[in-house]
Amino acid sequence: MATTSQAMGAMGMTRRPRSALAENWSVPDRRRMLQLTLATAWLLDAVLQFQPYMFTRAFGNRMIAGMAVGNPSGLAHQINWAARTIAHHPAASNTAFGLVQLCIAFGIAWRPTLKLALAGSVVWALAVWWIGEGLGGVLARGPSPLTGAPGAVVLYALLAVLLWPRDSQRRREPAPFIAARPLGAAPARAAWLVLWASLAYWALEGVNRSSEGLHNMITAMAGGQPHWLSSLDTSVARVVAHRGLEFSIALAVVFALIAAGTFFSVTAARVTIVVAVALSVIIWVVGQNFGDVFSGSGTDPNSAPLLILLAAAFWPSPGRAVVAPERAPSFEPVGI
Amino acid sequence: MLQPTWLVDTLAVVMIAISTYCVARLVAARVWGRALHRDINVAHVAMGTAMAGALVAGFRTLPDGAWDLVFGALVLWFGASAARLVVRPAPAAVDTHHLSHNLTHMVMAGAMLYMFMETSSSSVAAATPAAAMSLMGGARGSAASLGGLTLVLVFILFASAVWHFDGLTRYTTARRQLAPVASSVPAHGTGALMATAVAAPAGATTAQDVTMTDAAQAEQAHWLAPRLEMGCHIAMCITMGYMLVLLL
Repeated sequence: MATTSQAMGAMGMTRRPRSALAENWSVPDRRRMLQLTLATAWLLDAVLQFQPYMFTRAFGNRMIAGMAVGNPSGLAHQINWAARTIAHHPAASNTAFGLVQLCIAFGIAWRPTLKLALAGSVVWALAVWWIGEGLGGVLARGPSPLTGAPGAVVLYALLAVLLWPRDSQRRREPAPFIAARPLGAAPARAAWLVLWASLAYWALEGVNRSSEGLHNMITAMAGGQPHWLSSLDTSVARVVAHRGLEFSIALAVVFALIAAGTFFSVTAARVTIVVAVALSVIIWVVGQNFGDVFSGSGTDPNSAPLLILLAAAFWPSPGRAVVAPERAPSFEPVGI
Repeated sequence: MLQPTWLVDTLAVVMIAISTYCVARLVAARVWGRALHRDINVAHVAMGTAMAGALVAGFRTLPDGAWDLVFGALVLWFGASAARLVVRPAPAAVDTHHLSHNLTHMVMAGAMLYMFMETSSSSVAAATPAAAMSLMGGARGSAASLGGLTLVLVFILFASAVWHFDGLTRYTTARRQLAPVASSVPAHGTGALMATAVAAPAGATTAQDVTMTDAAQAEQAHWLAPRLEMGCHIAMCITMGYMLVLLL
Protein backbone atom coordinates (compact mmCIF):
# COMPACT_ATOMS: atom_id res chain seq x y z
CA MET A 1 0.00 0.00 0.00
CA ALA A 2 1.50 3.30 -1.01
CA THR A 3 1.24 6.37 1.10
CA THR A 4 0.60 9.87 0.00
CA SER A 5 4.17 10.74 0.87
CA GLN A 6 5.58 7.99 -1.29
CA ALA A 7 3.34 8.84 -4.19
CA MET A 8 4.07 12.51 -3.92
CA GLY A 9 7.74 11.77 -3.58
CA ALA A 10 7.57 10.30 -7.03
CA MET A 11 6.03 13.55 -8.17
CA GLY A 12 8.74 15.62 -6.57
CA MET A 13 6.26 16.86 -4.04
CA THR A 14 5.63 16.00 -0.48
CA ARG A 15 3.18 17.00 2.14
CA ARG A 16 4.44 19.62 4.55
CA PRO A 17 2.18 18.98 7.48
CA ARG A 18 4.57 19.41 10.35
CA SER A 19 4.91 22.53 12.41
CA ALA A 20 8.15 23.84 13.86
CA LEU A 21 7.20 22.08 17.08
CA ALA A 22 6.92 18.78 15.29
CA GLU A 23 10.14 19.31 13.38
CA ASN A 24 12.02 20.03 16.60
CA TRP A 25 10.52 17.10 18.44
CA SER A 26 13.15 14.81 19.90
CA VAL A 27 13.01 11.45 21.61
CA PRO A 28 12.65 11.99 25.37
CA ASP A 29 16.04 11.81 27.06
CA ARG A 30 16.44 10.69 30.66
CA ARG A 31 15.60 14.07 32.09
CA ARG A 32 12.49 14.32 29.95
CA MET A 33 11.45 10.86 31.12
CA LEU A 34 11.73 12.05 34.71
CA GLN A 35 9.76 15.18 33.87
CA LEU A 36 7.04 13.02 32.39
CA THR A 37 7.04 10.87 35.51
CA LEU A 38 6.63 14.04 37.54
CA ALA A 39 3.73 15.01 35.28
CA THR A 40 2.18 11.59 35.90
CA ALA A 41 2.41 12.18 39.65
CA TRP A 42 0.71 15.56 39.24
CA LEU A 43 -1.99 13.92 37.13
CA LEU A 44 -2.61 11.35 39.84
CA ASP A 45 -2.81 14.18 42.37
CA ALA A 46 -5.32 16.01 40.21
CA VAL A 47 -7.56 13.00 39.79
CA LEU A 48 -7.39 12.16 43.49
CA GLN A 49 -8.50 15.73 44.12
CA PHE A 50 -11.71 14.99 42.20
CA GLN A 51 -12.75 12.18 44.56
CA PRO A 52 -16.21 12.66 46.07
CA TYR A 53 -14.86 13.24 49.58
CA MET A 54 -12.97 16.33 48.46
CA PHE A 55 -16.20 18.03 47.38
CA THR A 56 -17.61 17.88 50.89
CA ARG A 57 -17.15 20.31 53.77
CA ALA A 58 -15.13 17.61 55.51
CA PHE A 59 -12.24 18.34 53.18
CA GLY A 60 -11.84 21.78 54.70
CA ASN A 61 -13.18 21.16 58.19
CA ARG A 62 -11.34 17.93 58.86
CA MET A 63 -8.50 17.42 56.43
CA ILE A 64 -7.17 20.96 56.08
CA ALA A 65 -8.07 22.04 59.60
CA GLY A 66 -6.39 18.92 60.92
CA MET A 67 -3.08 20.25 59.64
CA ALA A 68 -3.24 23.06 62.16
CA VAL A 69 -2.91 20.70 65.09
CA GLY A 70 0.49 20.96 66.75
CA ASN A 71 1.68 23.85 64.63
CA PRO A 72 2.65 27.27 66.02
CA SER A 73 -0.35 29.47 66.61
CA GLY A 74 0.44 31.88 63.77
CA LEU A 75 0.59 29.10 61.22
CA ALA A 76 -2.37 27.30 62.78
CA HIS A 77 -4.44 30.47 62.50
CA GLN A 78 -3.68 30.75 58.79
CA ILE A 79 -4.47 27.08 58.19
CA ASN A 80 -7.76 27.37 60.05
CA TRP A 81 -8.71 30.43 58.02
CA ALA A 82 -8.00 28.52 54.80
CA ALA A 83 -9.92 25.50 56.09
CA ARG A 84 -12.99 27.63 56.86
CA THR A 85 -12.84 29.28 53.47
CA ILE A 86 -12.60 25.94 51.70
CA ALA A 87 -15.39 24.47 53.80
CA HIS A 88 -17.68 27.36 52.86
CA HIS A 89 -17.17 26.73 49.15
CA PRO A 90 -16.12 23.09 48.93
CA ALA A 91 -17.18 22.42 45.34
CA ALA A 92 -15.73 25.59 43.84
CA SER A 93 -12.49 25.50 45.78
CA ASN A 94 -11.89 21.82 45.19
CA THR A 95 -12.64 22.13 41.50
CA ALA A 96 -10.13 24.96 41.29
CA PHE A 97 -7.51 22.90 43.14
CA GLY A 98 -8.03 19.93 40.87
CA LEU A 99 -7.90 22.02 37.71
CA VAL A 100 -4.69 23.73 38.78
CA GLN A 101 -3.03 20.37 39.29
CA LEU A 102 -4.40 19.13 35.98
CA CYS A 103 -2.94 22.18 34.25
CA ILE A 104 0.42 21.58 35.90
CA ALA A 105 0.41 17.93 34.83
CA PHE A 106 -0.36 18.64 31.20
CA GLY A 107 1.75 21.78 31.20
CA ILE A 108 4.77 19.67 32.06
CA ALA A 109 3.82 17.07 29.48
CA TRP A 110 3.37 19.72 26.75
CA ARG A 111 6.84 20.82 25.79
CA PRO A 112 6.10 24.44 24.88
CA THR A 113 4.67 25.06 28.37
CA LEU A 114 7.19 23.03 30.34
CA LYS A 115 8.98 25.92 32.04
CA LEU A 116 5.76 27.74 32.83
CA ALA A 117 4.26 24.60 34.34
CA LEU A 118 7.35 23.78 36.39
CA ALA A 119 7.50 27.35 37.71
CA GLY A 120 3.79 27.22 38.47
CA SER A 121 4.22 23.90 40.21
CA VAL A 122 6.84 25.40 42.53
CA VAL A 123 4.53 28.25 43.50
CA TRP A 124 1.53 25.96 43.90
CA ALA A 125 3.49 23.34 45.83
CA LEU A 126 4.88 25.86 48.28
CA ALA A 127 1.42 27.36 48.83
CA VAL A 128 -0.07 23.94 49.48
CA TRP A 129 2.85 23.01 51.70
CA TRP A 130 2.24 26.08 53.78
CA ILE A 131 -1.55 25.98 54.05
CA GLY A 132 -2.57 22.49 53.04
CA GLU A 133 0.14 20.53 54.79
CA GLY A 134 1.10 22.88 57.62
CA LEU A 135 4.70 22.96 56.38
CA GLY A 136 4.69 19.19 56.43
CA GLY A 137 4.57 19.24 60.20
CA VAL A 138 8.21 20.25 60.49
CA LEU A 139 7.33 22.92 63.04
CA ALA A 140 5.07 20.57 64.94
CA ARG A 141 6.30 18.06 67.48
CA GLY A 142 7.86 14.94 66.07
CA PRO A 143 7.20 14.92 62.34
CA SER A 144 7.86 11.42 61.12
CA PRO A 145 9.63 10.61 57.86
CA LEU A 146 7.59 7.43 57.80
CA THR A 147 4.33 9.32 57.51
CA GLY A 148 5.57 11.79 54.93
CA ALA A 149 7.63 14.52 56.59
CA PRO A 150 8.71 17.03 55.32
CA GLY A 151 5.58 16.83 53.19
CA ALA A 152 5.09 15.33 49.78
CA VAL A 153 4.26 18.58 48.11
CA VAL A 154 7.55 20.27 48.91
CA LEU A 155 9.27 17.44 47.08
CA TYR A 156 7.31 18.39 43.98
CA ALA A 157 8.85 21.84 44.21
CA LEU A 158 12.34 20.42 44.70
CA LEU A 159 11.90 18.10 41.72
CA ALA A 160 10.69 20.96 39.56
CA VAL A 161 13.89 22.84 40.31
CA LEU A 162 16.21 19.87 39.82
CA LEU A 163 14.50 18.85 36.58
CA TRP A 164 14.39 22.39 35.21
CA PRO A 165 15.13 22.24 31.48
CA ARG A 166 18.40 24.14 31.39
CA ASP A 167 22.01 23.15 31.66
CA SER A 168 24.46 24.89 33.90
CA GLN A 169 26.87 26.99 31.83
CA ARG A 170 29.61 26.86 34.42
CA ARG A 171 30.79 23.39 33.63
CA ARG A 172 32.12 21.88 30.49
CA GLU A 173 32.07 18.24 31.43
CA PRO A 174 28.88 16.18 31.39
CA ALA A 175 26.76 16.37 34.51
CA PRO A 176 27.36 13.43 36.86
CA PHE A 177 23.61 12.92 37.26
CA ILE A 178 20.41 14.42 35.90
CA ALA A 179 19.67 16.58 38.94
CA ALA A 180 23.01 18.33 38.49
CA ARG A 181 22.16 19.69 35.07
CA PRO A 182 20.29 22.89 35.90
CA LEU A 183 22.26 24.12 38.93
CA GLY A 184 25.41 22.05 38.97
CA ALA A 185 26.42 19.07 41.06
CA ALA A 186 27.24 20.85 44.31
CA PRO A 187 23.86 22.55 44.89
CA ALA A 188 22.04 19.39 43.86
CA ARG A 189 24.08 17.28 46.27
CA ALA A 190 23.49 19.85 48.98
CA ALA A 191 19.74 19.59 48.46
CA TRP A 192 19.95 15.79 48.65
CA LEU A 193 22.07 15.99 51.80
CA VAL A 194 19.75 18.41 53.56
CA LEU A 195 16.67 16.37 52.68
CA TRP A 196 17.92 12.98 53.81
CA ALA A 197 19.80 14.34 56.82
CA SER A 198 16.55 15.99 57.89
CA LEU A 199 14.80 12.64 57.64
CA ALA A 200 17.54 11.13 59.83
CA TYR A 201 17.06 13.89 62.38
CA TRP A 202 13.28 13.53 62.47
CA ALA A 203 13.54 9.78 62.82
CA LEU A 204 15.15 10.38 66.20
CA GLU A 205 13.06 13.31 67.33
CA GLY A 206 10.45 13.34 70.04
CA VAL A 207 7.86 10.64 70.02
CA ASN A 208 9.44 8.89 67.05
CA ARG A 209 12.17 7.42 69.24
CA SER A 210 9.90 6.31 72.04
CA SER A 211 9.56 2.59 72.56
CA GLU A 212 5.96 2.57 71.30
CA GLY A 213 6.18 5.45 68.85
CA LEU A 214 6.60 3.42 65.69
CA HIS A 215 4.12 0.82 66.84
CA ASN A 216 1.42 3.38 67.56
CA MET A 217 2.00 5.21 64.32
CA ILE A 218 1.74 2.08 62.17
CA THR A 219 -1.25 0.79 64.09
CA ALA A 220 -3.05 4.08 63.59
CA MET A 221 -2.44 3.84 59.85
CA ALA A 222 -4.10 0.41 59.64
CA GLY A 223 -7.60 1.76 60.22
CA GLY A 224 -9.71 2.14 57.09
CA GLN A 225 -7.27 0.28 54.87
CA PRO A 226 -7.99 -2.84 52.80
CA HIS A 227 -7.72 -6.06 54.75
CA TRP A 228 -4.42 -7.14 53.19
CA LEU A 229 -2.82 -3.80 53.97
CA SER A 230 -4.15 -3.50 57.50
CA SER A 231 -2.97 -7.07 58.16
CA LEU A 232 0.48 -6.11 56.95
CA ASP A 233 0.45 -3.00 59.13
CA THR A 234 -0.61 -5.01 62.14
CA SER A 235 2.15 -7.55 61.57
CA VAL A 236 4.83 -4.88 61.21
CA ALA A 237 3.49 -3.01 64.23
CA ARG A 238 3.84 -6.20 66.24
CA VAL A 239 7.47 -6.52 65.19
CA VAL A 240 8.40 -2.96 66.18
CA ALA A 241 6.42 -2.97 69.41
CA HIS A 242 8.61 -2.04 72.38
CA ARG A 243 11.56 -1.62 70.01
CA GLY A 244 10.85 1.90 68.82
CA LEU A 245 14.21 3.30 69.84
CA GLU A 246 16.23 0.56 68.16
CA PHE A 247 14.31 0.83 64.92
CA SER A 248 14.47 4.62 64.98
CA ILE A 249 18.24 4.57 65.40
CA ALA A 250 18.62 2.04 62.59
CA LEU A 251 16.39 4.14 60.37
CA ALA A 252 18.32 7.29 61.18
CA VAL A 253 21.62 5.59 60.34
CA VAL A 254 20.31 4.43 56.97
CA PHE A 255 18.92 7.90 56.22
CA ALA A 256 22.30 9.42 57.13
CA LEU A 257 24.15 7.02 54.85
CA ILE A 258 21.78 7.85 52.03
CA ALA A 259 22.30 11.56 52.71
CA ALA A 260 26.02 11.16 52.16
CA GLY A 261 25.57 8.72 49.29
CA THR A 262 25.93 11.11 46.40
CA PHE A 263 29.35 12.21 47.67
CA PHE A 264 30.75 8.68 47.38
CA SER A 265 32.31 6.98 44.39
CA VAL A 266 30.05 6.11 41.49
CA THR A 267 29.61 2.50 42.57
CA ALA A 268 28.94 3.40 46.17
CA ALA A 269 26.57 6.15 45.09
CA ARG A 270 24.64 3.69 42.98
CA VAL A 271 24.34 1.28 45.89
CA THR A 272 23.14 4.15 48.03
CA ILE A 273 20.53 5.13 45.48
CA VAL A 274 19.28 1.55 45.31
CA VAL A 275 19.02 1.49 49.10
CA ALA A 276 17.16 4.80 49.02
CA VAL A 277 14.68 3.41 46.50
CA ALA A 278 14.19 0.19 48.46
CA LEU A 279 13.68 2.06 51.72
CA SER A 280 11.24 4.45 50.05
CA VAL A 281 9.21 1.50 48.77
CA ILE A 282 9.06 0.00 52.26
CA ILE A 283 8.06 3.34 53.74
CA TRP A 284 5.42 3.82 51.06
CA VAL A 285 3.82 0.48 51.81
CA VAL A 286 4.09 0.28 55.57
CA GLY A 287 4.47 3.83 56.85
CA GLN A 288 2.38 5.67 54.31
CA ASN A 289 -0.01 2.95 53.13
CA PHE A 290 0.34 4.10 49.52
CA GLY A 291 -0.53 7.65 50.47
CA ASP A 292 -3.81 6.53 52.05
CA VAL A 293 -5.33 6.37 48.58
CA PHE A 294 -7.44 3.35 49.49
CA SER A 295 -9.38 5.34 52.04
CA GLY A 296 -11.11 7.60 49.54
CA SER A 297 -9.56 10.65 51.13
CA GLY A 298 -5.96 10.52 49.95
CA THR A 299 -4.95 13.66 48.09
CA ASP A 300 -1.61 12.41 46.84
CA PRO A 301 0.52 9.26 46.89
CA ASN A 302 2.59 10.84 49.71
CA SER A 303 6.33 11.44 49.74
CA ALA A 304 7.82 8.01 49.04
CA PRO A 305 7.18 7.89 45.25
CA LEU A 306 8.69 11.35 44.98
CA LEU A 307 11.74 10.23 46.93
CA ILE A 308 12.10 7.42 44.40
CA LEU A 309 11.82 9.89 41.54
CA LEU A 310 14.37 12.10 43.25
CA ALA A 311 16.71 9.15 43.65
CA ALA A 312 16.38 8.42 39.94
CA ALA A 313 17.47 11.99 39.23
CA PHE A 314 20.63 11.39 41.25
CA TRP A 315 21.54 8.11 39.57
CA PRO A 316 25.17 8.54 38.46
CA SER A 317 25.75 8.41 34.75
CA PRO A 318 29.53 8.52 34.33
CA GLY A 319 31.08 8.74 30.94
CA ARG A 320 27.87 9.64 29.24
CA ALA A 321 26.94 13.16 28.44
CA VAL A 322 23.49 13.97 29.64
CA VAL A 323 23.64 17.52 28.41
CA ALA A 324 22.29 17.39 24.92
CA PRO A 325 19.18 15.39 24.23
CA GLU A 326 19.47 13.03 21.38
CA ARG A 327 17.89 14.39 18.26
CA ALA A 328 15.33 11.98 17.04
CA PRO A 329 15.00 10.90 13.53
CA SER A 330 12.36 13.09 12.03
CA PHE A 331 9.94 10.25 11.86
CA GLU A 332 9.60 8.05 14.86
CA PRO A 333 7.03 5.33 15.36
CA VAL A 334 4.29 6.28 17.70
CA GLY A 335 2.98 3.99 20.34
CA ILE A 336 -0.71 4.52 20.06
CA MET B 1 -21.28 9.83 49.16
CA LEU B 2 -22.03 10.60 45.55
CA GLN B 3 -19.75 12.10 42.97
CA PRO B 4 -20.48 15.62 41.82
CA THR B 5 -22.93 15.06 39.00
CA TRP B 6 -21.53 17.79 36.78
CA LEU B 7 -18.20 15.98 36.72
CA VAL B 8 -19.48 12.52 35.86
CA ASP B 9 -21.95 13.98 33.38
CA THR B 10 -19.17 15.90 31.67
CA LEU B 11 -17.00 12.83 31.49
CA ALA B 12 -19.90 10.82 30.12
CA VAL B 13 -20.56 13.42 27.42
CA VAL B 14 -16.88 13.38 26.47
CA MET B 15 -16.92 9.60 26.28
CA ILE B 16 -20.02 9.58 24.09
CA ALA B 17 -18.47 12.22 21.85
CA ILE B 18 -15.32 10.14 21.50
CA SER B 19 -17.30 7.00 20.72
CA THR B 20 -19.30 8.85 18.10
CA TYR B 21 -16.16 10.33 16.60
CA CYS B 22 -14.45 6.94 16.46
CA VAL B 23 -17.47 5.42 14.72
CA ALA B 24 -17.28 8.31 12.24
CA ARG B 25 -13.57 7.61 11.77
CA LEU B 26 -14.27 3.99 10.94
CA VAL B 27 -17.02 4.89 8.51
CA ALA B 28 -15.06 7.72 6.90
CA ALA B 29 -11.96 5.61 6.50
CA ARG B 30 -13.99 2.96 4.76
CA VAL B 31 -15.80 5.41 2.51
CA TRP B 32 -12.66 7.34 1.63
CA GLY B 33 -10.56 4.20 1.38
CA ARG B 34 -8.08 5.31 3.98
CA ALA B 35 -5.82 3.27 6.20
CA LEU B 36 -6.83 3.37 9.85
CA HIS B 37 -6.12 1.61 13.14
CA ARG B 38 -9.40 -0.23 13.08
CA ASP B 39 -8.83 -2.25 16.23
CA ILE B 40 -7.95 0.89 18.15
CA ASN B 41 -11.01 2.73 17.01
CA VAL B 42 -13.30 -0.21 17.68
CA ALA B 43 -11.80 -0.47 21.16
CA HIS B 44 -12.31 3.25 21.74
CA VAL B 45 -15.94 2.99 20.69
CA ALA B 46 -16.53 0.12 23.09
CA MET B 47 -14.67 1.73 25.96
CA GLY B 48 -16.30 5.13 25.50
CA THR B 49 -19.79 3.68 25.37
CA ALA B 50 -19.19 1.40 28.33
CA MET B 51 -17.70 4.16 30.45
CA ALA B 52 -20.54 6.56 29.62
CA GLY B 53 -23.00 3.86 30.65
CA ALA B 54 -21.15 3.25 33.88
CA LEU B 55 -20.94 6.93 34.71
CA VAL B 56 -24.53 7.93 34.05
CA ALA B 57 -27.24 5.93 35.73
CA GLY B 58 -29.87 6.60 33.09
CA PHE B 59 -27.73 5.57 30.15
CA ARG B 60 -28.35 1.89 29.48
CA THR B 61 -25.94 0.24 27.11
CA LEU B 62 -25.49 -3.51 26.99
CA PRO B 63 -27.04 -6.08 29.33
CA ASP B 64 -25.12 -7.25 32.38
CA GLY B 65 -22.25 -9.50 31.43
CA ALA B 66 -22.11 -8.43 27.80
CA TRP B 67 -19.38 -5.88 28.42
CA ASP B 68 -17.33 -8.53 30.19
CA LEU B 69 -17.36 -10.54 26.97
CA VAL B 70 -16.55 -7.53 24.81
CA PHE B 71 -13.56 -6.48 26.90
CA GLY B 72 -12.44 -10.03 27.41
CA ALA B 73 -12.31 -10.37 23.63
CA LEU B 74 -10.39 -7.10 23.31
CA VAL B 75 -7.87 -8.23 25.91
CA LEU B 76 -7.32 -11.41 23.94
CA TRP B 77 -7.08 -9.51 20.66
CA PHE B 78 -4.47 -7.03 21.84
CA GLY B 79 -2.66 -9.70 23.83
CA ALA B 80 -2.43 -11.91 20.77
CA SER B 81 -1.27 -8.99 18.65
CA ALA B 82 1.43 -8.17 21.18
CA ALA B 83 2.52 -11.80 21.35
CA ARG B 84 2.66 -11.94 17.57
CA LEU B 85 4.92 -8.89 17.52
CA VAL B 86 7.20 -10.39 20.15
CA VAL B 87 7.51 -13.67 18.28
CA ARG B 88 7.76 -12.15 14.83
CA PRO B 89 8.59 -8.44 14.85
CA ALA B 90 6.99 -6.80 11.87
CA PRO B 91 8.99 -4.49 9.63
CA ALA B 92 8.31 -0.85 10.07
CA ALA B 93 5.34 -0.09 7.91
CA VAL B 94 2.47 2.25 7.69
CA ASP B 95 -0.13 -0.03 9.14
CA THR B 96 2.07 -1.71 11.71
CA HIS B 97 1.23 -1.29 15.35
CA HIS B 98 3.93 -1.45 17.93
CA LEU B 99 4.30 -3.56 21.01
CA SER B 100 3.66 -0.68 23.40
CA HIS B 101 0.52 0.19 21.47
CA ASN B 102 -0.87 -3.31 21.82
CA LEU B 103 0.13 -3.66 25.44
CA THR B 104 -1.35 -0.29 26.38
CA HIS B 105 -4.67 -1.17 24.83
CA MET B 106 -4.60 -4.61 26.35
CA VAL B 107 -4.21 -2.94 29.75
CA MET B 108 -7.04 -0.55 28.97
CA ALA B 109 -9.36 -3.35 27.94
CA GLY B 110 -8.26 -5.31 30.99
CA ALA B 111 -9.00 -2.32 33.20
CA MET B 112 -12.48 -2.08 31.76
CA LEU B 113 -13.04 -5.79 32.29
CA TYR B 114 -11.78 -5.47 35.85
CA MET B 115 -14.07 -2.53 36.56
CA PHE B 116 -17.14 -4.30 35.29
CA MET B 117 -16.30 -7.45 37.20
CA GLU B 118 -15.74 -5.45 40.37
CA THR B 119 -18.98 -3.53 40.07
CA SER B 120 -21.02 -6.60 39.17
CA SER B 121 -19.58 -8.61 42.05
CA SER B 122 -19.96 -5.77 44.50
CA SER B 123 -22.07 -6.41 47.51
CA VAL B 124 -23.39 -2.91 47.15
CA ALA B 125 -27.00 -3.17 46.11
CA ALA B 126 -27.09 -0.84 43.19
CA ALA B 127 -29.36 -0.71 40.20
CA THR B 128 -26.65 0.26 37.75
CA PRO B 129 -22.86 0.20 37.54
CA ALA B 130 -22.96 3.95 37.95
CA ALA B 131 -24.79 3.69 41.21
CA ALA B 132 -22.46 0.96 42.33
CA MET B 133 -19.45 3.09 41.52
CA SER B 134 -20.93 6.08 43.24
CA LEU B 135 -21.53 4.18 46.41
CA MET B 136 -18.23 2.39 46.28
CA GLY B 137 -16.34 5.58 45.67
CA GLY B 138 -17.69 7.08 48.82
CA ALA B 139 -17.20 4.09 51.02
CA ARG B 140 -14.56 4.21 53.72
CA GLY B 141 -11.89 1.73 52.83
CA SER B 142 -11.11 0.23 49.48
CA ALA B 143 -14.07 -1.08 47.54
CA ALA B 144 -11.90 -2.93 45.06
CA SER B 145 -10.96 -6.43 46.05
CA LEU B 146 -7.57 -5.99 44.40
CA GLY B 147 -6.60 -2.52 45.50
CA GLY B 148 -2.96 -2.96 44.53
CA LEU B 149 -3.91 -3.97 41.01
CA THR B 150 -6.23 -0.98 40.76
CA LEU B 151 -3.40 1.35 41.71
CA VAL B 152 -1.06 -0.23 39.17
CA LEU B 153 -3.68 0.16 36.45
CA VAL B 154 -4.16 3.81 37.39
CA PHE B 155 -0.42 4.44 37.13
CA ILE B 156 -0.19 2.77 33.73
CA LEU B 157 -3.15 4.68 32.36
CA PHE B 158 -1.91 8.04 33.60
CA ALA B 159 1.61 7.35 32.39
CA SER B 160 0.21 6.49 28.98
CA ALA B 161 -1.87 9.68 28.94
CA VAL B 162 1.14 11.83 29.82
CA TRP B 163 3.41 10.02 27.39
CA HIS B 164 1.01 10.51 24.50
CA PHE B 165 0.38 14.11 25.44
CA ASP B 166 4.12 14.67 25.18
CA GLY B 167 4.03 13.02 21.76
CA LEU B 168 1.19 15.18 20.48
CA THR B 169 3.56 17.91 19.35
CA ARG B 170 5.00 15.46 16.82
CA TYR B 171 1.79 15.70 14.90
CA THR B 172 1.06 19.37 15.07
CA THR B 173 0.59 20.68 11.59
CA ALA B 174 1.65 24.10 10.45
CA ARG B 175 -0.41 24.15 7.30
CA ARG B 176 -2.25 21.71 5.20
CA GLN B 177 -1.44 22.70 1.68
CA LEU B 178 1.08 20.83 -0.40
CA ALA B 179 4.51 22.24 -1.00
CA PRO B 180 6.91 21.25 -3.73
CA VAL B 181 10.29 20.09 -2.49
CA ALA B 182 13.42 18.97 -4.21
CA SER B 183 14.08 15.88 -2.18
CA SER B 184 12.10 12.73 -1.99
CA VAL B 185 10.49 11.15 1.02
CA PRO B 186 12.83 10.10 3.85
CA ALA B 187 13.55 6.44 3.60
CA HIS B 188 13.55 5.62 7.28
CA GLY B 189 11.09 5.67 10.09
CA THR B 190 7.40 5.15 10.22
CA GLY B 191 6.12 8.08 12.20
CA ALA B 192 5.61 10.38 9.27
CA LEU B 193 4.35 7.53 7.22
CA MET B 194 1.85 6.83 9.88
CA ALA B 195 1.05 10.50 10.15
CA THR B 196 0.22 10.59 6.49
CA ALA B 197 -1.19 7.12 6.29
CA VAL B 198 -4.60 8.27 7.24
CA ALA B 199 -4.46 10.68 4.36
CA ALA B 200 -3.36 8.09 1.87
CA PRO B 201 -5.91 6.42 -0.34
CA ALA B 202 -5.61 2.74 0.42
CA GLY B 203 -5.27 1.84 -3.23
CA ALA B 204 -2.94 4.63 -4.27
CA THR B 205 0.02 3.29 -6.13
CA THR B 206 0.96 6.02 -8.55
CA ALA B 207 1.26 9.74 -8.58
CA GLN B 208 -1.98 10.02 -10.46
CA ASP B 209 -3.79 8.35 -7.62
CA VAL B 210 -3.04 11.20 -5.34
CA THR B 211 -3.99 13.99 -7.63
CA MET B 212 -7.31 14.45 -5.96
CA THR B 213 -7.94 18.00 -5.00
CA ASP B 214 -5.66 19.21 -2.28
CA ALA B 215 -8.51 20.68 -0.35
CA ALA B 216 -10.46 17.43 -0.21
CA GLN B 217 -7.38 15.49 0.71
CA ALA B 218 -6.44 17.93 3.41
CA GLU B 219 -9.95 17.86 4.75
CA GLN B 220 -9.89 14.07 4.99
CA ALA B 221 -6.47 14.12 6.60
CA HIS B 222 -7.71 16.71 9.06
CA TRP B 223 -10.61 14.60 10.28
CA LEU B 224 -8.61 11.39 10.44
CA ALA B 225 -5.43 12.91 11.87
CA PRO B 226 -3.43 10.68 14.23
CA ARG B 227 -3.31 13.44 16.83
CA LEU B 228 -7.09 13.21 17.17
CA GLU B 229 -6.79 9.50 17.80
CA MET B 230 -4.14 10.26 20.39
CA GLY B 231 -6.40 12.87 21.95
CA CYS B 232 -9.15 10.27 22.26
CA HIS B 233 -6.67 7.90 23.85
CA ILE B 234 -5.59 10.51 26.40
CA ALA B 235 -9.18 11.36 27.37
CA MET B 236 -9.98 7.65 27.68
CA CYS B 237 -7.00 7.03 29.94
CA ILE B 238 -7.89 9.90 32.26
CA THR B 239 -11.56 8.97 32.51
CA MET B 240 -10.76 5.32 33.04
CA GLY B 241 -8.17 6.26 35.66
CA TYR B 242 -10.73 8.40 37.45
CA MET B 243 -13.23 5.56 37.51
CA LEU B 244 -10.56 3.24 38.88
CA VAL B 245 -9.68 5.80 41.55
CA LEU B 246 -13.31 5.70 42.62
CA LEU B 247 -12.89 1.98 43.10
CA LEU B 248 -9.83 2.41 45.31
